[in-house]
Amino acid sequence: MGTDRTPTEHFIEFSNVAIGLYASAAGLPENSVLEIANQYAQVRSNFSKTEPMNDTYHFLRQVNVYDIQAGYELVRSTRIRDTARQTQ
Amino acid sequence: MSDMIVCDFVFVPNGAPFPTDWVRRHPDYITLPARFTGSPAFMQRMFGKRRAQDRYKFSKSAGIVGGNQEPGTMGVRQSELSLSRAQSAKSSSVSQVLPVSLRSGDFMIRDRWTGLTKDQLLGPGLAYLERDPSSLTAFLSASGSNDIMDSPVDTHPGVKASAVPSGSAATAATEFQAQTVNYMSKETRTSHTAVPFLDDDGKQVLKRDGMPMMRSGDVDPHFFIDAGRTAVQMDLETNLLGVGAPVQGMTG
Repeated sequence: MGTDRTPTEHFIEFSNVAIGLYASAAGLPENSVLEIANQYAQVRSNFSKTEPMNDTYHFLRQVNVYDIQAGYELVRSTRIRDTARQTQ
Repeated sequence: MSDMIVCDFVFVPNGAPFPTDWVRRHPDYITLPARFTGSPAFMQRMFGKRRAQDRYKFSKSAGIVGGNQEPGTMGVRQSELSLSRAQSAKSSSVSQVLPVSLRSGDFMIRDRWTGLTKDQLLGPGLAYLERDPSSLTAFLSASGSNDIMDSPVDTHPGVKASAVPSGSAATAATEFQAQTVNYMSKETRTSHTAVPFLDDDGKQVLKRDGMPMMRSGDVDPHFFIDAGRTAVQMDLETNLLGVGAPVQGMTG
């Protein structure tokens, strides 16, 4: 965090959950978002070889896929609601 | 502020291959939601054999309109193009069209679209634009985000934190980046304080390993849901206004 360019480890997982939150609310298909993330990661990401990678999205870590899917699930289950519904 | 944008770009409809080569040439880029909405005449030429200089249209809440086709590609060079975008992500339903010039953008090469249906071609996609400071300035200004003009996008914590780990944030959700930049770039949102990520019922959200997930103390998860819903609303309003709506008869 802060204005540096270094991601803060603590918030990496939440950042991917946030993608799922947004994409789910926007009605973007989950598999499409994961595939885009996968393709992007192929070009831009550089994970450790010891990181467990996802079986379907080979360029994403297992935890990345889990976190994005968690964002979707939080919206689907209404565990996290939009502001309007939250205040009702 | 100039409203001219000059940058390289490539448009990739959803389902089309990731523009690996383009991204390698432009490692620092932004993505905008876009939709191909060519005129019937243009579509006829596009799917036919004629490849004359044509005007085409791209749009959505942040799309690209106009341009000249380049033989052999769905290409643009020194074209008249417009970037249309709702004036405000928060409240406005009025779309604004900004004139831009895309230096040498192209769609996907035609044979790379093989296998895509017409619906896919005419559906939403992503426009990848080189992250040129002037183009970014113009684009973000169009969204009323003048407060972030002084700082490059990826100096902002939330965006970088999102983009690096999985590489998703910059591309996965169309307007995610622009809206998140605006949100995250507020000077106040630089907290290093981690707080438990709780759902609306106060229950802890867990990580894959079962441990509590943490979030930055001043980043509200509801922002992302609200932004997603707003994006959908903007899309609907844009289409209702006829800006960027697929040409009737060309979507079936």
